[in-house]
Amino acid sequence: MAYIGIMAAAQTPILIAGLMDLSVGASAQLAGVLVAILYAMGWNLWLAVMFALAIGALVGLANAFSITKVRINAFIATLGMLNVIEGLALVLTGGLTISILVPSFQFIGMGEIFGIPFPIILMFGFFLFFYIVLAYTPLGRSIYAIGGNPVASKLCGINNERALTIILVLSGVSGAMSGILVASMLAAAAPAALSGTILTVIAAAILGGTSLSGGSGNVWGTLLGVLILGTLTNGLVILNVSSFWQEVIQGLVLLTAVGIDQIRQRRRRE
Amino acid sequence: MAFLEMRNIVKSFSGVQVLKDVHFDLGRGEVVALLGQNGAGKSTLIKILSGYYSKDSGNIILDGQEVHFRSPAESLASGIRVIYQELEVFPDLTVAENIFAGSWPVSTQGRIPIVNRKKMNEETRKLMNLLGEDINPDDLVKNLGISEKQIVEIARALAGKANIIVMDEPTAALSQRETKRLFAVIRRLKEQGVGIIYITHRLEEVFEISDRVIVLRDGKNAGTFKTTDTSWQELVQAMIGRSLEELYPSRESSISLEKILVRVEGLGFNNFLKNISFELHAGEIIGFFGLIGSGINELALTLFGALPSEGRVWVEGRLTKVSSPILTKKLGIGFIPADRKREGIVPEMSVKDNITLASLDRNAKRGFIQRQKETNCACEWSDRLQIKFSGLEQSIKSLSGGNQQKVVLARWLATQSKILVASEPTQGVDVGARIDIYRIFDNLAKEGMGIIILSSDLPEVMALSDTIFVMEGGKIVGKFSKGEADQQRLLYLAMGGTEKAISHK
Repeated sequence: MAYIGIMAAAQTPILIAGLMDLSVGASAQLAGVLVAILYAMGWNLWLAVMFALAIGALVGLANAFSITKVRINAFIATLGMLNVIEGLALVLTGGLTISILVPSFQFIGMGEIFGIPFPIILMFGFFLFFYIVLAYTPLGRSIYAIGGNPVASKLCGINNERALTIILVLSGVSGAMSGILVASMLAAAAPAALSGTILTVIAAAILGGTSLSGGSGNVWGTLLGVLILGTLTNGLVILNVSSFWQEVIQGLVLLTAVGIDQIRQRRRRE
Repeated sequence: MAFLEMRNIVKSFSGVQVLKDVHFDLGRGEVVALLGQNGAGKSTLIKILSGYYSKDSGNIILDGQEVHFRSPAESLASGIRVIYQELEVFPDLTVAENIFAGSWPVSTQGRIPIVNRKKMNEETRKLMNLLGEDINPDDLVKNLGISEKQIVEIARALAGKANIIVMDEPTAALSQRETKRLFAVIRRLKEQGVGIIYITHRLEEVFEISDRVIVLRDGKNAGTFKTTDTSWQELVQAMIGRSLEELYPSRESSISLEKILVRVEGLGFNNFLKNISFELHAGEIIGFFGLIGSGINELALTLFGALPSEGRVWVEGRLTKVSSPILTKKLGIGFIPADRKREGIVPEMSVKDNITLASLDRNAKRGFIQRQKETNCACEWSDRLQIKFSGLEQSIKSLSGGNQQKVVLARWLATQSKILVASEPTQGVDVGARIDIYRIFDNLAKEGMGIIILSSDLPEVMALSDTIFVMEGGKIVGKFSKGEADQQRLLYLAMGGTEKAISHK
């Protein structure tokens, strides 16, 4: 669940700004694949990790370019990007799973510090980071303003494009980090391991009270959403519900969350 | 008896009466011009007639029967059609399809309804004949000019058996020739017995096309005149009324002539602004007066860098670009936008966050917002502007229009701006807050700020400004210093009149 949390933490400011980044799950996949391939080619492992994170940032930058400069609707821009990256991951691997058998790399996904699993610490770090950004920096305040009223924020002399670019890049990096985490846990990179996670990511944020129409929300709500969905998934596994039915239930949870958000919006308007 | 009568119409919005006992009547085949300054209540009255708003009290009598419109559809069904400035046409459908939109003639043979194109085109030709026009029914509407689109809308109204057509500033985007064409169509409509309510800001058109003029002022009737028996002086007087002396502070000029804050030369923006030049001194209030569509709003946005522009601008003696609000803010320019809801406030945010939104960097240290400093700043300015609210964390949405406007003003004072561009600073603001805002402007000018007010509220511009520019059609058409301006002349110029015509009449 930690990898979902990392992506959801980064998705929160994006939703608050009134956008959406659908490409983040695909970025994760690509990052895992890159690390595996580069390592197999003889790169230093940590250099490969750095490279994968940089590519994540680049994906975010590309998203920002389509959204703020070309002015493609964020949903479509990142949906297109999702396809591009998922395709690239398949091209690079030929659709095969590549293993990464390095004990030190396993630490990211399996290690513990004072008995706390490292992925949990990492996820918490991301939440804390985005909390500080949103609550204590001019950038964070600008994000809320852009989501609430982009025209007003522009007329306040706020650099909307810069703010959006920063959070999209951060989201790309967070996606890459999630992918590296998963690759470490599985000791392998599979090009299609994470397709579909984006819906869970967005559902978690919406469940946590972040509005799809922008302007309000916070990361702790999102964390709660992640925990609820994680518990749900674990529960279903324990109850031995088939993974096909799990898909159905997850979809229903997303629809319910968005439905509740819509009703909340309508109430507020009245 | 009149075909349409609206009696004692009263309407309030959140406790403020915008229509007080308004009467309006219209006969068959008559053109009545509805005149009034912005905020006089014209559009509210029309929206009640067209079923968008429900009246609080009063009667609407149509053809001898009292009617109660609960929705626009009901008003439409009674034969009342409003043609708005933004035309409501379907660009990718043909002229005929547009005219019969929603009620296309259908061939009755067979089970599946099929549009009877032949009959539809024939009917369209008949309608065009009635209007003295010959627009091809098969043309796509997107290929037509604005005036032809307008005629399509008028034909659609006729096809829908409209007895009353409301035209809201129909000539705003038309050339002189197109205006003549429209007037020819209107005369044809009169022959058909259609009553027309004609809303305009242009007095010449009132005299050319209307039979009667009904003037509204501050939500009340301010006179009804037979067009042939009245003069432009009389109409302008009725629109202005007596000025509310107590509303405006008597200002003493505080200009320091040696200090030029802003110099603008040949500022332009597409067709909306042409060759605007002026100087703003420290301690000076400049007023740009113009009606809606005159370019004042575009000028405000251009000065603040929110619209692209050509021309040259100096700020404090330095030639500079005003290409984005990010830049103009750094130059010490503050901005109060005309549309507070759409461009001013962030509705989801608190009062405090709205106040500090333009000065986030000022209240931050090493990249982090200093919460205490921010709160102090919000407190200081909300105190000085006497903003009424229960707490800084209160939602901005729950404030009155006047207090919201003060928040927007506080936002820019918190940035220590030296220059303020204020577009329609008192629109939708109650009288009490209005007086406060005028007093604040006066004080700011005394402290050396340069203020540019762009407003369609004539008494406001006259009372506050040291120098007044009148704008019409994107150009400056008159410049007056404080003493030499008189209301009638300014309004006349803003309505497209010429200095020559004034001396004639």
